Amino acid sequence: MGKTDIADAQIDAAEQPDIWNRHVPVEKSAYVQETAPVFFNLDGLRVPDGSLTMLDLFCGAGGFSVGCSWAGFFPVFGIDYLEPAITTWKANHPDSICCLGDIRLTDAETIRGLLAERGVGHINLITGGVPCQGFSIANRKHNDLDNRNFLFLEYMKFVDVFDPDYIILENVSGMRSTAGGQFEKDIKASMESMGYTVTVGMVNAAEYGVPQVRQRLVFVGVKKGRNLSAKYAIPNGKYSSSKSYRTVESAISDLPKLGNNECKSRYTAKPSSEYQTLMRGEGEISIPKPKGLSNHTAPNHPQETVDKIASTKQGQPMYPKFKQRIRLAANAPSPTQLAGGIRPQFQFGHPTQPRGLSIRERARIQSFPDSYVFIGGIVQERVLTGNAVPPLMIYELVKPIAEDIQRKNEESRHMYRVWYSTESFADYIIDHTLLSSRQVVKNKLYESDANNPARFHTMPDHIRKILYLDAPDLIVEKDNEPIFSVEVTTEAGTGHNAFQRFARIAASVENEVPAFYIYPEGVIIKRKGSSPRWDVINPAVFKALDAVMSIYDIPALLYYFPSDITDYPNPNAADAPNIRNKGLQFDRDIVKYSGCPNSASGEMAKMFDALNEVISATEAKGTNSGRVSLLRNLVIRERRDFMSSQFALKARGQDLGAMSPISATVEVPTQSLLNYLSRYEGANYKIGELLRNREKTIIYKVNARFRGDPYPGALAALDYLLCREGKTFEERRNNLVLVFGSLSVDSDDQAITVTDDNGSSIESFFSDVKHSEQHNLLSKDYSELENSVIPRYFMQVRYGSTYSKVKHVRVYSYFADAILFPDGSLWRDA
Amino acid sequence: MTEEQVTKAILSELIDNGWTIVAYDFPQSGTGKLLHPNDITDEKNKGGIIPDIIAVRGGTCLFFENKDRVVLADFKKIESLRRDNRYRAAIEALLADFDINGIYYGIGIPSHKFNAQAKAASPTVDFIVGVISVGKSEFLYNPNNLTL
Repeated sequence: MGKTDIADAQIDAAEQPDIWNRHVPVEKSAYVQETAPVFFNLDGLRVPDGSLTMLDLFCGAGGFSVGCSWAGFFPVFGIDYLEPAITTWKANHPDSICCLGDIRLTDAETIRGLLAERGVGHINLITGGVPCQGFSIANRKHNDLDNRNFLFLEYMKFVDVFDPDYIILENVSGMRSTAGGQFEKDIKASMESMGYTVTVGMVNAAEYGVPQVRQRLVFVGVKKGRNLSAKYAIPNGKYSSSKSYRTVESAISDLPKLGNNECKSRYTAKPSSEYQTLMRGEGEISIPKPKGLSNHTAPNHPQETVDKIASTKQGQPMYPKFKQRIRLAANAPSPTQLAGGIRPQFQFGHPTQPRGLSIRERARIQSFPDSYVFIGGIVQERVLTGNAVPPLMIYELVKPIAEDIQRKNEESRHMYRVWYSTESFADYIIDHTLLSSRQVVKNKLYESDANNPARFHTMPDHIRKILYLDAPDLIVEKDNEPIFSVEVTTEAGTGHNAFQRFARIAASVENEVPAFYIYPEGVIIKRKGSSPRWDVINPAVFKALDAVMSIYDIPALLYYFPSDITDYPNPNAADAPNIRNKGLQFDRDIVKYSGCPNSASGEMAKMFDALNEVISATEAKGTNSGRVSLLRNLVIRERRDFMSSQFALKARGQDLGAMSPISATVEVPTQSLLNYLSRYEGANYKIGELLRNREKTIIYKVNARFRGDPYPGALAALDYLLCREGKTFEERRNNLVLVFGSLSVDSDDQAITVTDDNGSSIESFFSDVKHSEQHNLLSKDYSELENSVIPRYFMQVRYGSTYSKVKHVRVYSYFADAILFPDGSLWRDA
Repeated sequence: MTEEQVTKAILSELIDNGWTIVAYDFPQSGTGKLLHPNDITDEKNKGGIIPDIIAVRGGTCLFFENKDRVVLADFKKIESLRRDNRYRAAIEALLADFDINGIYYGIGIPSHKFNAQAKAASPTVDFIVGVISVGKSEFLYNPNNLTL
């Protein structure tokens, strides 16, 4: 026990100042620390792992600390100027630092430094039960100019220094009427000026399960710009009507009966209500169990007082002059429990026993758990339990705050990196998806060692793997794992051109990275002598993407680049408002999102949604599990179904075989190919197993000079459309052969002939390969290499010329089982 | 500063000062307008150029070739455009909706990259704009007293 226990009998009415008399000056408590603040437990701070951190200013006995700790906060620091308050707070928070002193005599920066030295950097929450005597209607010396009304400025100094995620300030309901409401407005404005979005509301503790009607005004501020909720919403209490409020009986009926001045330190009955179970540490909230029963001592009443209480009906005032001093009604919640001045008498009579409440009973009515021990003597313990904010109400109010901060921390845990071809497109994707609220770093994407010899080798291996065929416009990775790629084009998607970028999609999906393809549904073309008209997308691209998805179980989705085609179809293309841009709708912000599709379009909104599904899935399930589950996702499935319906719509009954590039293929018996290649066989060499094992061969006829686009992408698409059954080129049903030249087929003789119409020659292929060798460092001596080039050399040692060959050579050699020229052939043996 | 950033910084300042952007492009933007040489309109023909910025205000048109550094080949390209009018038909078609009094051809670069070579080559162009930061550019060479 702290100070001498002063029995109520010794507080003589004649000696006790009348606190209700306006003309009697407010007494100062003898327990106020007026000299320099004193810090306790500076070396004993132990913050549990994973805890959110808080400061409890004007902490009193610790109502905020208790309620917030139930929600996952750890109070690293509490301060109050009343000695019994800090004695109590310190005893119940042995791993925290506290300070006995006037907050006006402390320096927030000094305290921040103290905490930082002890490993506490960021503070998530600052709470403040700013002394209410200045505002309280119950204090009939209610005075707008009371110095205690301005203590919130001290609170705001701490907010300024610590810059927490959330702030809560709690006060009596009388704050609303103080200075005509100006104090409420001033506090809100002060919080807002520090960058907080503020919610102010009146809350009743009874609605949150506290067996007491206690109206309080709360201010909750959320710091802007931290990926936290835009505004705090005061949650509704579960006990919404007065009929459902918890009662005094449900709060204290399990506590042992006490005679006058009697103390009991053991329970004599089991809890008989959910509330009592909770208070005894056996409920749903993780609360320590008490070590025995504490603070359960009946006041020492004179017989006159005992008789007075006994003769008073439940719910009625015991003293006509003091209406707040009532005998509690067992079947109702308690009225607001007060401190009752600096040396309070008992406020409430026990409903069934002729005495005032014990401190434990007052604590129960305030929802302090039984494990929480009050220290200071019965009178000061009345002050503490009367002034406190109910922990259970605070718990319910703070739970969503803890969840919000934890959500933010969880999201911030992931590091996203966006590899881009243009920064505009990176910003476009970031700003319109969940990435806008994540930690994101942007990096320039270098396509190949051939294109960017100075920089390509600086990219991480897992990104380079996706680029081995061709580079998409954007790759997003989370925690060093790619999670999706995006390719955007404004090219007309007719004929073979529809597949120009297909290799990029294939490379992404083959590395199990979902691919998104933004492609125009149509593009306005103006040819000499004819009116502008739409060149419409080749629907075969939908089939090719679907084939890729079927084989890899990874999304490869197409979204239309927004355009005027829906409103201005052929023959009205000339009227299209965006005819200058070939009918395509670009984003209005041509500076920030240069070259990007109109973000306000429905198609792009759908794509952003789908990208968000990918982000969410990989965050929730991990990158690998998230990616493989995506085809089951409803949003992804809906898009896949849409693509399927678009194929049917745009094919208009045309057979897939009649569409480019399938229409440029011919199926022959593999024997025909083997017969053709037999010219290269001899006594010591036979064509290998790979080609022989497949009964049929698909030949892609490119009657043009050897070159790249659009043929590499078309070849890749043909693999998936006509040959591939598994995840590697070895798992094909049919061989895939590329012919540069004019092809004729003799079915009877199982013979094929390749002739030259366009100057196509195998020498062109060899020339391009040799040209790529200029990027090859492997023939150089160490002394010839500059330091900056050594990492590039080392990459080539590992990967050879994989990345240094020109793109079409890489793609042809990857997808084609054989390439036939009029004057030579290349083929795979295995 | 990349070429993309140079172009976007100039675009930002032009738009803020009331210029209409007729065409713009930077590497991989996909926005470029291909201008064919005079009398050749086959879209697949080589020899076409893609301007980095064409902007119009009042009767004035600015034609930009932008880079992240000084490239003398760009000065030669601009000189050729001014002198030979090789793309006049394409440019006029692009500007058909505007009443143009004068077209000025110039270079956009990061301001700090302006060097002695660029200075020496200045007379081959109508202007040089140096980008200091987004929304802040300066004329490094401006014999025609143009304003952004």
